Amino acid sequence: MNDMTQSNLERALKIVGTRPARPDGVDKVTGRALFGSDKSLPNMLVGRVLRSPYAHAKIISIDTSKAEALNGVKAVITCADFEDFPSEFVPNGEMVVNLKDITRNIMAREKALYVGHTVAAVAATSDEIAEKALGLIDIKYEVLPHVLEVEDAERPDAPLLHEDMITIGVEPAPKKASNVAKRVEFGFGDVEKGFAEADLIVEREFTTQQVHQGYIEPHACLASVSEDGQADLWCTTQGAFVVRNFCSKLLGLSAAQIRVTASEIGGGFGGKTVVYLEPLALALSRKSCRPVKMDMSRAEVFTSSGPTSGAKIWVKIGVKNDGRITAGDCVLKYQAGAFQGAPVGPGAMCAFAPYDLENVRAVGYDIVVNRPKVAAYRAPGGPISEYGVESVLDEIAIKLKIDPIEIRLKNAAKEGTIAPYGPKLGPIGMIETLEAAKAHPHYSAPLGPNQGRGVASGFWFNIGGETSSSITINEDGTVGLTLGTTDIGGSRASMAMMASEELGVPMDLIKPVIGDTNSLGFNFLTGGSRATFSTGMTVVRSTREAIEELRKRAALLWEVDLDQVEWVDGHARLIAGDEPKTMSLAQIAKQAGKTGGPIMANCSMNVTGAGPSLGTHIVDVEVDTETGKVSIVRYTAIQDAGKAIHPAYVEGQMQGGAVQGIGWALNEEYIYNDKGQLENAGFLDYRIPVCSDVPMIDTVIVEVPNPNHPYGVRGVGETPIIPPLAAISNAVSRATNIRFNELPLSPPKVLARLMHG
Amino acid sequence: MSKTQVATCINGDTHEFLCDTHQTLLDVLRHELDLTGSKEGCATGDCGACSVMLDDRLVCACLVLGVEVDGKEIETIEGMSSGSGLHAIQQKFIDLAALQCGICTPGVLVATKALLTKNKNPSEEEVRFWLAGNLCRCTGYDKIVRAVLEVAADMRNA
Amino acid sequence: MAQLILTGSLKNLTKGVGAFNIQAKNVHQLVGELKQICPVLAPLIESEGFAVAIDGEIYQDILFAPIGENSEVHLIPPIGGG
Repeated sequence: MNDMTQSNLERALKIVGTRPARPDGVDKVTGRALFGSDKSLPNMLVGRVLRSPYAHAKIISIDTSKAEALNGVKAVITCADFEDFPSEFVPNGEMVVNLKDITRNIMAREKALYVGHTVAAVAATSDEIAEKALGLIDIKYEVLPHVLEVEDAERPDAPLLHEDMITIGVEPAPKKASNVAKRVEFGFGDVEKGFAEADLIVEREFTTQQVHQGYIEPHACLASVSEDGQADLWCTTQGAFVVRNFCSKLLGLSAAQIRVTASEIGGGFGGKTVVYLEPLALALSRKSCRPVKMDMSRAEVFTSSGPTSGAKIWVKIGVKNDGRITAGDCVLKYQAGAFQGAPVGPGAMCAFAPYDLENVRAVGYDIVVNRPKVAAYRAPGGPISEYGVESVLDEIAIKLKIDPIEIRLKNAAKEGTIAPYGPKLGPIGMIETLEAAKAHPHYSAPLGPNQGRGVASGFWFNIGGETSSSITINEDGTVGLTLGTTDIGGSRASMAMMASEELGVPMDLIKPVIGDTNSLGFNFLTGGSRATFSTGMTVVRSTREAIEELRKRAALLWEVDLDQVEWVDGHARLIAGDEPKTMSLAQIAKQAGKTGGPIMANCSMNVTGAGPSLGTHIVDVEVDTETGKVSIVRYTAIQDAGKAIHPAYVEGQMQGGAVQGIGWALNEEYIYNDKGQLENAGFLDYRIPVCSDVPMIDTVIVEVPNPNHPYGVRGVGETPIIPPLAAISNAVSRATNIRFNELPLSPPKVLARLMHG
Repeated sequence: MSKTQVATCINGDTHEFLCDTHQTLLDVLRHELDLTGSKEGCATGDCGACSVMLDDRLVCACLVLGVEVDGKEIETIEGMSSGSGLHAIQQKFIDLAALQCGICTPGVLVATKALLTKNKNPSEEEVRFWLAGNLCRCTGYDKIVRAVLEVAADMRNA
Repeated sequence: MAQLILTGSLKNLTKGVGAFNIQAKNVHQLVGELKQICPVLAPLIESEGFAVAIDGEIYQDILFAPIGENSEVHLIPPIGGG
């Protein structure tokens, strides 16, 4: 890979690093862009879902005969319409999934495991008929006791969600089933020895609540299965290929039988990486032989799609009087929802990852509860564990009277640091973001009464993965790019910019589109901050291959050897010769047919070499001591992007991630009643930050290039949601002189602490 | 179920349609008239993705019944760039990257145009409170607010 | 000689043994070799999937990632993301 990585880090860039208009901008501002529920087909039916009213119940019987008899009902499906699978982990891109769990999550089988769990679905000629049909489905339940919190779920007498679940990762394996799916442990050194050497030890317990990604577009899809079993699926997703593979397994169709086209996506943040409606719509369409459109209501999005875990965590850090950490230890207990798979592994891996420690341990537990199965949410697992570590570190800084940035600098991870999960880190920008924070005018600005300033850092790995894209040189000298990763926040612009930079032709001659699953090889989904990094890598490679072909064609026309032709600024140029000779891309493209046929290139690879992205945030809060309301007064987000291809969209990721973190820290939480019903399944009561809740989010992009990418890209989307939780909690603690260890810091909770300490 | 005949003017064109009494204006726009630029994020008036103008009043189309719009004038996102290219607000949102996924963008644009019609020189605080009913989960609002303030200044100087 | 380093949960599975000398020249060979030298890890790798860090570089599902003469190899869980 090194052959292609070096040159661009040194040469002057013309396009990369600028802020051009995005290729899909006009469609997005005119209402033309088609999202998940914006498409219709002739003869289309409407699909609706019947959901469990109980948090935990055995399904005794399901009678759909009355619903099927209703005029206008064309198909009713239950678990009987899906094959059952044994417990088996199968790879799907970089995810390893258990088909037994997925088939039960999309359609309850033996038991309903949360309020909102799908138990049946109907396709009918109208919404009203479908709704009426749902009411005619007769289900007999035996209601069972339920459990919602990790500390209740791990008790020996807790009701079991899965009677055969034996904890993985414990030696010897337990004899008795429990709700603890898995134990993981990372670390090295000797934490006990480290604590013995410490001058000061602080340990704390923290609680975070379940939060939702809160994408504004609900899940939606449109499926059409013809009589010969060919299926077309249009849906809003972060990964069309991943959806295809899920659906082909769940429905027993081959990959070639399903073509998935990703719509424009109205936000995902990890929540649109799994399937909910898609296999149901396909099954309903297969049964009725008509197109079926389905979409979730906002309430269904909250109750029945995957939020991220609420958690209980414990953190202990020992330090010398000079602030050097001697040991770090933590135990993380994350809610998985109804099926195993809480992001506690990555949570444990990155808990202490911003720091260079000799003795470190992170233990995690993946615990099932009667809540919806969690899905990925931006830096899955990271915000929770790092919130605990960054809070304890702040408390230590106060106790030792050390500046919070200085204590982080003293312990910062750098190139060569052994990460808590084992390997040595490559070049990373932890120190650079801390130095940038220290130098920022925000950090030395005066504070007003009842105000406090908090600082926190965050680490995320970033990933590569299977990626495939292609480039076509059109006869008129314009260029087509076909990309396989969903564009969720402007990645088409970044890809066109990188191709433009390589080719030396203006970006507006390059048209990037997102292909369907028949147009490219497998692409893992857009997530883990991988799209600009990985798809960018394939775009650069395929563009270079196309340039090679363009040079070949020019060499043919000039009747010289290939090595006599170089590529400069969108032109082939003859190196030797009496007078300078050039041929533009358009001139070569015009004659492509006569010189060997159309010019195109593609690149498929399993991309490696992602570089972690570190961030440091500074926040000023003001606490209203009468009401407990916390206001964000000033906010600065600093992050190492490696290289910002389109700085405006990098800033946008940092700002958006920071504000999601603000919501997590201040207001957002799933509130369940004693029946296990979600009481705030709407945007009025599940309050994500609105425009008037936040100030401008200042950004500083630090660029410590990733040596493994031709332009130095790291990926930026995940990291910015990590620091806000602790930064805000630290700021509130400093403003009030009360150490807070529970999120969200909503007015009643803050007021209670202000009144009772 | 009997349907009601409704005659209305949408983006300057007359439209007649039949609608059920329970259908919202948003249902009618999206499902009967194929005007899918107005988005449904919640159907309860909390997210603002379906913001439209109803006789010069900014409303959530999901909170208006289809039968209520008889004889009224409606402007949706599809009417913003009439004929002569993008509206200055639309162009500014593209130029300043004031959108990421774009699902909230139609509603934000309609709401912004309504604000700048009423108030040609809004403060940052006024912009933030006016747009408080338009949820955006991607941008953190920073670039949206900057775009609104900047286009307001451009329009004042035009 | 290249070494496989185990920490955390994996080291618990091997009853505290934290390092193995390995002959494998790539990940594909490593999977085979693990069955011989450390059978307790094999089912875990096969069932859940594991990524491999070779001298700090993380490889997910890349069988022919080369393992150098003196490489340090770590097994880590696959990383996804939002």
